Amino acid sequence: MDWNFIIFSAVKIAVVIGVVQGMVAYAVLAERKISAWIQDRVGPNRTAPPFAKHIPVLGRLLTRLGMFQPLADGLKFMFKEDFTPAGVRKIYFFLAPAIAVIPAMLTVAVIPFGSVLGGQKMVIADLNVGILYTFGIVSLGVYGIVLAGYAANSKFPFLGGIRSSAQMISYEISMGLSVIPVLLIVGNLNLGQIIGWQAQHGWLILYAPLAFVIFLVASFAETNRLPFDLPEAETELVGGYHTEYGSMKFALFFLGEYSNMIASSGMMVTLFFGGWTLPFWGLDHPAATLVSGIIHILIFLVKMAAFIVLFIWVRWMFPRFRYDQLMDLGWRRFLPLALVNILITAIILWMRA
Amino acid sequence: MEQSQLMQYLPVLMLIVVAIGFAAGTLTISVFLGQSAKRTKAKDMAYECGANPIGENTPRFSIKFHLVAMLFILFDIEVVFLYPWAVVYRDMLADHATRNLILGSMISFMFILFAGYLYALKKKAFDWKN
Amino acid sequence: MTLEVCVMALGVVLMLADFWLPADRKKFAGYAAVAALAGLLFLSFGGCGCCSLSGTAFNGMFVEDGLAVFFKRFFLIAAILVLFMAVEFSDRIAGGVSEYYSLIVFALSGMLFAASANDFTMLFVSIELITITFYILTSFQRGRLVSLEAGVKYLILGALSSSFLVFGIALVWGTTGKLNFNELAAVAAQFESNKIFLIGVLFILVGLGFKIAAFPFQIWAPDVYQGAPTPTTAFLAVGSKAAGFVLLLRVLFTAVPTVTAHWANLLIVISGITILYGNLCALPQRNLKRLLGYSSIAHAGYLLLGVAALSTSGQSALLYYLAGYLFTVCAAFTVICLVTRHLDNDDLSALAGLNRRSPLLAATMTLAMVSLAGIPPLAGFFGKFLLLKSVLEQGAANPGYYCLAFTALAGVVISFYYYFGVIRAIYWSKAAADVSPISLSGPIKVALWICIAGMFWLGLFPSKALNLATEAASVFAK
Repeated sequence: MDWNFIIFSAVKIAVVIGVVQGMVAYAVLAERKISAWIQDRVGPNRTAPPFAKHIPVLGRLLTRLGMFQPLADGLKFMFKEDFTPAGVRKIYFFLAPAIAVIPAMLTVAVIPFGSVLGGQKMVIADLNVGILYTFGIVSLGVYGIVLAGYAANSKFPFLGGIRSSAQMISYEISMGLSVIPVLLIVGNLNLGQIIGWQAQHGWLILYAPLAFVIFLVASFAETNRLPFDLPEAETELVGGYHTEYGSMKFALFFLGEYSNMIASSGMMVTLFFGGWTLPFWGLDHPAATLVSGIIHILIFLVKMAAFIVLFIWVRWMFPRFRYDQLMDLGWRRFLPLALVNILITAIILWMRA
Repeated sequence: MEQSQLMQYLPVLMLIVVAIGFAAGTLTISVFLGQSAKRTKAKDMAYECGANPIGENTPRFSIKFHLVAMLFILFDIEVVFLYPWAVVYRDMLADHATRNLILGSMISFMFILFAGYLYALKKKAFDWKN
Repeated sequence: MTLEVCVMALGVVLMLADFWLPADRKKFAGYAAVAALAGLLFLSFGGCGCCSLSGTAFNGMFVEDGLAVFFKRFFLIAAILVLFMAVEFSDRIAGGVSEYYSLIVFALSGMLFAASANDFTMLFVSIELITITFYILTSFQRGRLVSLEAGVKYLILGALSSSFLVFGIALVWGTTGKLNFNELAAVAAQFESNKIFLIGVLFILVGLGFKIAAFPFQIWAPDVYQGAPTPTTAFLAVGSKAAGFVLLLRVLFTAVPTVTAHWANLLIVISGITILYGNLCALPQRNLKRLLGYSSIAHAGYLLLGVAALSTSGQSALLYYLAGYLFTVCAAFTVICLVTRHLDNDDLSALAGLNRRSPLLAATMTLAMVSLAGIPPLAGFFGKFLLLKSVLEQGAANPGYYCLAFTALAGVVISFYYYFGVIRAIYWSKAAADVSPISLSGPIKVALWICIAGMFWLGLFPSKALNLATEAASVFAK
């Protein structure tokens, strides 16, 4: 047993989970603030703990920006009545939110969020089958939602669950196919090596733009975000699969959705945008010093934040698809497109070699 | 080698434990901290926009969903077959002996996959309009 | 390999052709498939690289030897005759006629792979390819309840048998670490007393026993034969059974010959009971297809005689018998298919007055029944003769073989009753409800004449075919 390894892993896990949860909390805030700006409102601007007004300028500023809002939201979820309706299937009703949130937290395990810091690789588990692991875990996410729809024993959740299962599995195929050109070019499943390749040859978005577009759209569908939020379409299904849920159980679904969003952003950054690298200022080599290690992590976080903002921006800019349009897009447009993309990439590589 | 391969998965295992603990913990905390209020009959009802629920709570749904599930299984397995091919593609291209084999075998595989796709398409399996 | 690839491609083309062919032209898709398969069969005799007599592929998983070539030609002929039948049957299929043809072709490709399987993985994949297509082929008449019932029964029991097969393969692989038949043969002797290994082999035999409908696993056969569309039944009776036998031969005599040598008594018992069961249960049957279903169980028993003999002469007799069985069964089912065209059931009374309605059909059916019963000068007689001879040759070593030969003879005598019941229904039934003449299309006449010629050729001039069978069976003599 290598205790050193275990302790470092534990520390990395603790930090990553902490950061991801923090990002979830503030992604929710960002969502509310950005939607407010887009709609010419101000958004959350007055929630503050009592001590905030004693801090001179900063306290007011943070309150205005709504920085304390996520804390209040979290506390509210915790102290709300934990109500379980009589008609539900009890065990599954408790199991569903847990199953929704666990895979969402596991996806981040293989994403390299930095190069090297203090002799440690900045990734929780440097698996050789990184991409396969991610897809395996992501496809587990559908169970939580389907189970939620089934457990609630009510019409709207049921329809939401059915819809989401069909939607998620449909786009999973396109997503899986869209990554194959990347693998063809790099020839490795390990995410760290994919980033290493990009550091040498340039970002993969330049080599496989179509793959990126398909991946991006598929991740919108996979995370049930607008314009593909059919499973919880408010105007049709009230709340979709989580209609019957309240308090912390509802919060876990929320957490799962945003964690998924963060994980997909991380995947896109890693696969197509060079992960922690930047092509200038010598930032494309694994860090030698502590400072450059931290800079690499920051680069990764900034890239990821950009994608999260993109997710949020799209949500408030585009209308929702109809269900037949959604399935049409997935099966009749993206699936053949992804196949052709693979074929073209393979043939170009064959001609070049 | 084998040892270190398995050791790679140890952090994943730890993360799983943490994730399960987190989910279980938050659910339990909520049970204990959450306030309890009166249960009423209306509160226990399945939500249907305020009206009393009508009919079965798990209604019948379109057969299309089953079709999608079956197609998913077929295509997903085929996608998985593509992964090992994609990983070794570069190495086999570099070798002159296997250069055409690796492309040809995959083109024939894609041909079969595409024939299946075309079949499903023509059978209107992806048609959700009606 | 080229042959398999061609057949696969043909299947895909037929499947997609469905969407672009106008409805009244769909018949020709079947004839086109027949022509393509006939071409492939011709090429296999011409030796244009399709069936070169040696070589392996996929690291020895796929083997191209005399036995494989024999069975490939066998399956091609079977598929051609079945496709002729399917074209005649097409007006009774609600939708997707081309799919029906293409599924037959896909099942054929599975059989071709089975003929060449030299590895448990290949064995399983080919069996699944055959069985899964047959699930669909069996329940293809979606509007008929019996067809659906047959499909479901076949699905459930087929899945059960597949699971036995997989468990068996897993146990064999777990104990020996080998999947390839030749590699397994080299080490099988070391594991002769290993219980887990023997259970594994037994499980594999159970799985294959389902496919050939041998005694304790025959339960699905009558219901499925009765309910399935007639061409499917014919293909099931000929193709699927022959595929089961080629795999059985390969497993018993290539993979685990040392184990098989100890299991003669088991094979004798199974063979004897299968013969008796099939023949006795066929006696009271009034439904033609059900009757042939039971008769096919009995024939599986006869074929097992050749396996139980554990000798090259037994194996070649088995191959010869299968060849005769092919033409005979195809003839019988083609007649049933044509006669019951406008009827709901396949009752024996449908044959009433057939000699006036269509002398050719009556003659074909009579010849088929005579051949099945094993009366000279037709194929069935000579096949049974060879099988009994091979069994009796072994009698000196094990008196059980004498009992088996006696049982087989008793079975033949019993079978006379119900086969002649069919002939009687054709010529001597009083009340013929329908005496309108049956018009036959040109191609189906060709198919009938092929069957008749095959039955006579194999019965009167056995030497050529027997040489082929002996040559094929010599694979195991090495």
